[in-house]
Amino acid sequence: MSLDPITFEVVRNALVAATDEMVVSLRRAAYSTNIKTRADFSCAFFDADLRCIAQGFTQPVHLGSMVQQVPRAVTEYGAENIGPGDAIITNDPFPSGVHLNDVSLVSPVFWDGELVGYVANLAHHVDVGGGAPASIGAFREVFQEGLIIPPVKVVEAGALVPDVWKLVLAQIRSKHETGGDLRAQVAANATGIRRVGALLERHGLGTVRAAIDELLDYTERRTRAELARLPHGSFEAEGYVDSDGYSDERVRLHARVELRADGVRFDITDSEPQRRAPVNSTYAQTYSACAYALKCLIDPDLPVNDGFYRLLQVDTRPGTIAHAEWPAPVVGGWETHTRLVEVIFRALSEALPHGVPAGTKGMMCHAGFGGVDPELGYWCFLETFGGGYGGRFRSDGPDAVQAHGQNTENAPVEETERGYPVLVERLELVEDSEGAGRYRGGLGLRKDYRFPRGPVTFSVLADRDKEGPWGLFGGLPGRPAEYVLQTAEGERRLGAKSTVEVQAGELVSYRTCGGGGYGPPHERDPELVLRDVVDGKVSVERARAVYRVAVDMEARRVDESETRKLRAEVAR
Amino acid sequence: MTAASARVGVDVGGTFTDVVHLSSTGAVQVRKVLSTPPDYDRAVVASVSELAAADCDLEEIVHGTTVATNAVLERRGARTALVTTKGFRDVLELRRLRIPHMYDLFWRKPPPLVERRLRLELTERLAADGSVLEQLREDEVREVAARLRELGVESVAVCLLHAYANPEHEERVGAVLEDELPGVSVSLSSRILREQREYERTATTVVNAYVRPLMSSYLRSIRSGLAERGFEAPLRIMQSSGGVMTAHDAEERPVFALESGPAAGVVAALGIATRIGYENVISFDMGGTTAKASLIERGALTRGREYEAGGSLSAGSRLLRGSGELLRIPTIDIAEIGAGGGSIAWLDAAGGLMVGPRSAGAEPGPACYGRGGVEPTVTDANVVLGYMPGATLADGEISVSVERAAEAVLRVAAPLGLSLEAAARGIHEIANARMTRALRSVSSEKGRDPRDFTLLAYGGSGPIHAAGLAEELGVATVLVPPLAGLFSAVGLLFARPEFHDVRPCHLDARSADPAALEELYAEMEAGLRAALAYLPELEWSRTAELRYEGQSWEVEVELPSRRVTPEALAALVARFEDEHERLYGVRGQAGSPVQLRALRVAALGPMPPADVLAPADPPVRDAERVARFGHDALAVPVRTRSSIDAEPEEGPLLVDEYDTTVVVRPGWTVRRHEATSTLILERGTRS
Repeated sequence: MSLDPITFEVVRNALVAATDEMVVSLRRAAYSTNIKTRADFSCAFFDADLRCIAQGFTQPVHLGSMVQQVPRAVTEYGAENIGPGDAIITNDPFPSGVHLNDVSLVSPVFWDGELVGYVANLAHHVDVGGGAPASIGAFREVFQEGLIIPPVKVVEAGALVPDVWKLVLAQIRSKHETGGDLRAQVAANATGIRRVGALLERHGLGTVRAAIDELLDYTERRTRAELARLPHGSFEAEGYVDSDGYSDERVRLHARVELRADGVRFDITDSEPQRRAPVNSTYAQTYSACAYALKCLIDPDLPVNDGFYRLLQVDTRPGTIAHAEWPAPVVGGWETHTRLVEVIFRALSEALPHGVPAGTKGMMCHAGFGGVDPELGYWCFLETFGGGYGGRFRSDGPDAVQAHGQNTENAPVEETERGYPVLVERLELVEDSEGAGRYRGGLGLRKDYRFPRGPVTFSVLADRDKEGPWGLFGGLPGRPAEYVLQTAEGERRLGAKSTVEVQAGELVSYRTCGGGGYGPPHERDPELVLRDVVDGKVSVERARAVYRVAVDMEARRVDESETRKLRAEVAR
Repeated sequence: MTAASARVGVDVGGTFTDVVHLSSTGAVQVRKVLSTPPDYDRAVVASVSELAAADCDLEEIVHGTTVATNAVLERRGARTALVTTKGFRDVLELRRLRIPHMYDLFWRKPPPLVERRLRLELTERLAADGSVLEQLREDEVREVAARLRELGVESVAVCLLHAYANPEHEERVGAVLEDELPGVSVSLSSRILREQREYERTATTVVNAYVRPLMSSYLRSIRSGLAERGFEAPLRIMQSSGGVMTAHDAEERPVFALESGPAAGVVAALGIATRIGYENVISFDMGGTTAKASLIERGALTRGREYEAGGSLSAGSRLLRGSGELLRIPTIDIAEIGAGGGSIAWLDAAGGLMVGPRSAGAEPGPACYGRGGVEPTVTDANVVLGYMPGATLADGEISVSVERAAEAVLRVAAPLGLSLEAAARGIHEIANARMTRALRSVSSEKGRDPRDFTLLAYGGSGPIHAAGLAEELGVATVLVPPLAGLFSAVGLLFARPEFHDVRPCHLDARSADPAALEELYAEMEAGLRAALAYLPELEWSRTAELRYEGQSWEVEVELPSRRVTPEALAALVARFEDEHERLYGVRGQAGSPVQLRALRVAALGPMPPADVLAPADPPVRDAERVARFGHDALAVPVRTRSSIDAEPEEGPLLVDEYDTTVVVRPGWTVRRHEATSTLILERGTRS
């Protein structure tokens, strides 16, 4: 069937618009701050052959992983066992899921009794049971991390399956929020089914199928054209997660990237064996890291669907931290995933010196906490924090942003304080935390939580507190992160993967890492250094010692002769 | 002659200032003059006083302006400081943390309108319920004031944490700053946007503060300029929501008037399309520097609660956010792209022909205007193609030279080895391709099929390009209203006075006290009534924002009766649950707690008389003109609007108007809807 270009344009955009509307529906009807405000979820549409066709605009990290998880869940349950009005729920990391907090809901789309495809959404739940509130923490095996849900039917012919629903909610601390969030997931799929239905009503199944085939081919053609202009060859690098929560022995990741005109192969097989610690990534998470990195190298406007994924090959070795096997703990998989993205960019930095940033935040940086409150019952809260972005060819890394596939929004202080027994005392940039460079890295972020009513169980699940993100081409690394507990006795450092009881009146402070610098700091434009000094982002002392710029604070000017002298010393 | 009364609409754009004068007798006069940047008020005062006869009683002047928007885009606002709660001075710069372009490794965060050095903190703190955790210290506010004086700021935004719940600290800070810093304008977040969420409230208040001195002096110059010439009529300002407010209000809260001109055009588009009987319409406004599109679906405007000034492609309701200055204000959702009649055509390093986004603006303007412009613009291309006459337009304000247009277009034609006509066609088509993006972003990118819609085209260049764009999008019908070239100014006369007030609250909707709610509503209405004493009658609308406890996005529902009674409250909750299910496909479990989060009142003034009669046709100079369509050069009849009647006539035809030309392409027909004098272009079956 041949398609006119306008119909093709309308249908392909309508499919993406359907997933976008699922996003809006899920977000608006959700209860937890993590979903409703921070948008920690994703939506997608798959065709009857389980090819990914359209993805709503939210979290890139989920997109690559849903491509793995949804087809496996449907296959495992059996497409023939899923009827109109049904929905399958799952969060099982093995063999192809992610961490337990990410719960997926898959619903079939039927048209005239025929299976057309599936709408699916994945949302990060604030709690799925397990060893600590918000279900994050340094656990030894997956069973401690919470409720494991293999693909099971949670909605049947349009009605919730009460036994499954009750069994799931019984394992969960924040029942009110999670119940609401799960209903919002059901609603999102209902929206998606309606929208796809309206499209089929308008254009007919034949036209929509033709548009889907053309969309995948079109995406593949354009992706190939993009691959053709990348430097071809094999590039490799290694990098480390700083610690695993039990030992200080760092965790090795290795990536070899083979860029070819007809496809890209990521070889992650040489990463170290999985640990009984929260540093293991599932295959789906590793796949997602590679898909994200590749997407960044090509035209950002290219649609993301099977036509793109076809050209991507990800090889791993089961039993490694890049491909954990049951019963490994996987709650920290996203931390490792994000570091793997960094390692991939490092591998490409020689071939694409103008195409990738210096070391960036490179962690999800979770905080999860909760407790029992006389008014609220058992409450849980989850957040992730921005950090410094790496400096780039001709531009500074942005200060305090989410990075590398992590696209969650801020948790507004006013909303947080209204909903939870917590006071945020500071939310600010961390002065002097940037990796110095000709193009400097971004500053880290500080956020302080005080718990006036306590006690609260607080888990840090993060990294980067030993080594800051690396610099490139003479740039310096960013300042490492700090996780601090402040009690009546004073301050003490918390481990990057640890759980602690916080008493009433105590405070936890996150100070995330700065991004790495790009190029030598003494080549930075002194006027830019001055700007940062006047804005209180960089201290006068640091400007002098690291950037070799003398700033006259009285006059708010660069002392040029002194600066020349300082810089001449470096040259020698 | 007895004195008739009249109303005047004035729309200031980057290139032209348009004035429409509508007398109570129904007579219409129009004037288009070049804008006079940076003193935009000069053209406003001159053109209004020229049109408004001395014996005419001027009822009101309704004004739409992009002065505030341009100040934000070009970063020409006041030296602005931000005063905030200790520990939170970076809220403005942190934005929403996310990078709006997910796969862009080179994204740059837009620099904040208030630099970090100008963001000062106070040790005070409120809790989420508005109670005071740490008292405000007046001596510290005075220290901050002294610091601000030293820093030489012209405007201050005050945004304290939880001020939406209790504005008292902000009010006190405002009083001290006004006392200590005479002449410096102070914007309080609790007066601009009394809503929870510190980033959104801060960003909106900062933009308000940033444009306030400029807007205020601009509006004062207009008022004093008109007063000097004997015009004392009240000045009203269009808001981005499509309603009008008083000039005094606009001086205090200019952020509500950002993008006010474009909103007027869309309001008028809705009015005229409804009148003719079209309810699914894409409004398309092509002016000198930008093209804008908005979707009207089932007879309703597309509205938004958020807007980004200066985003790369501004399309309010898209999920992509964070590339411009965020404003949380009621708006009409308008997509905008930098392509207009003044957009300059140029060659990139690889020899590719590009159009825009740089514009020749009012100075020097397109080359064909002979005001010093030499670079080729879209308008120059349209002259070369024969679409626009080589003549004087707009009562002699614009004179168009075919030779100058050709000279300019040759500057790109020669290096490309193209003929003059081929280069002009290229420029015209590239401009079309860019504008299709704006049209797509409000239709097909939202899953709406543009073929289900009618295009309503206006703006100085809209009627020239509309039929070509329609062909590209598969649209079968194009409407061109009378006075299309000054349609936004016309729209100002269609707009209703509209005012809002809101009270945030945190109440259980099932157990709230109806009498207390009634009191809150009555209090807001009394306040609005006092402010709107000049309006004879007001129409009221009471709405409430509700959500299930634990959610944070509200659904706005209209109160089912005029007064709050126990029954009305129960019906309100039921309406909310129905609406929630309609919007999101689910309702809460039976009996789920429902919260009342805000009460809203809107006061709407009388609907102005909407019939705008077409002015007399300008004289037509040629009986026909050679125009180019594709590779054909055709001798095309030139007509006036009033010579077209209800019977469809076949194109090609050119309808020359006051300041623009309606291009009826081959394969199209044109007829006139008599009651509104709107031209209806329809694509024949053989297109």
